[in-house]
Amino acid sequence: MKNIILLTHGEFSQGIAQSCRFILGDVPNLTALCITLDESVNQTKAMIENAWKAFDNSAPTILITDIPGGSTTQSAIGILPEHPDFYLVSGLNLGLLLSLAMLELTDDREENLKSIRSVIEEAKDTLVLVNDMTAADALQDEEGEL
Amino acid sequence: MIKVLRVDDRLLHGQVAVAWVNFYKADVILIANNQVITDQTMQMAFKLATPPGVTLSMKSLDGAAAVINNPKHASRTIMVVAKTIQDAEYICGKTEGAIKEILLGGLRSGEGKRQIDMNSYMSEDDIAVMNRLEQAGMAITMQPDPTAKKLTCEEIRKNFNKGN
Repeated sequence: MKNIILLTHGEFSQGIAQSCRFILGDVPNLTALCITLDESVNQTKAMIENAWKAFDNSAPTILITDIPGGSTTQSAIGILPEHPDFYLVSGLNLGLLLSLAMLELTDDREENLKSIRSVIEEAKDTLVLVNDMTAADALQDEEGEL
Repeated sequence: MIKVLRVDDRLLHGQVAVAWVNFYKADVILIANNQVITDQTMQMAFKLATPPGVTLSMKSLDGAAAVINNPKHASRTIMVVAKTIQDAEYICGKTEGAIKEILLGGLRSGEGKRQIDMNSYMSEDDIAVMNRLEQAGMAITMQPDPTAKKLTCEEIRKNFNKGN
């Protein structure tokens, strides 16, 4: 059990939440927050706070922002003093979100940090220039090898 | 062990590669399809779709049966993916009870097919094959993703009989 809050410039978070549910089906405790040009850092912090309160559970919370260098992440960093137990991840993409949505968190923070770190490393590897991929080797068949 | 055989006409795509592989904790995806062994575009697409830490094996129907029958892979958690229920029956016929669970989903519409579930359609022959597999003791259900409603054979037949 865990909570996920997405925070992006514009409606990216809502779209990617829908894409995530397209693949995984129902994903509980996933909230998409969008900021516009009008929101101040304090208003955005209040949005995150309200989203978190609405979860109505004490499970760990992962807050994911779109880009590290943006007011989304600045607001998210601003909320860490009040919520030092949040896991804050930046660089949202669908592969990363799917992996985090499927990740099982425990009540051991060190353990959780480790598994989130490894999900991030794997997500980096999913950025590929497909043109650079070589054609698959001729496949072995019939011998019962994988 | 063979965890499940998924019948899905797109073979390996997001819902299968991400949601079902995670659900079954599979460490091998075995694609059983006679076209995939010569089609390099399919091979590249499936390679890209395979999650980290999971072994991808692409075989003909006979090649897949040979993998399933190889006792060497007994410690692996294998998810077999086939395109049609007819292919599934062929594989089951060559693997003597190794497959116990068949999961249907993502079966697109076509000539003579009737709607069973939101994204799945079956023909009269598909139903006949399903009935034979069910009689052979296979546990068969239809479910697009792990959180969606699961249909039993009984419900699949009921939906087929009322659909057109």
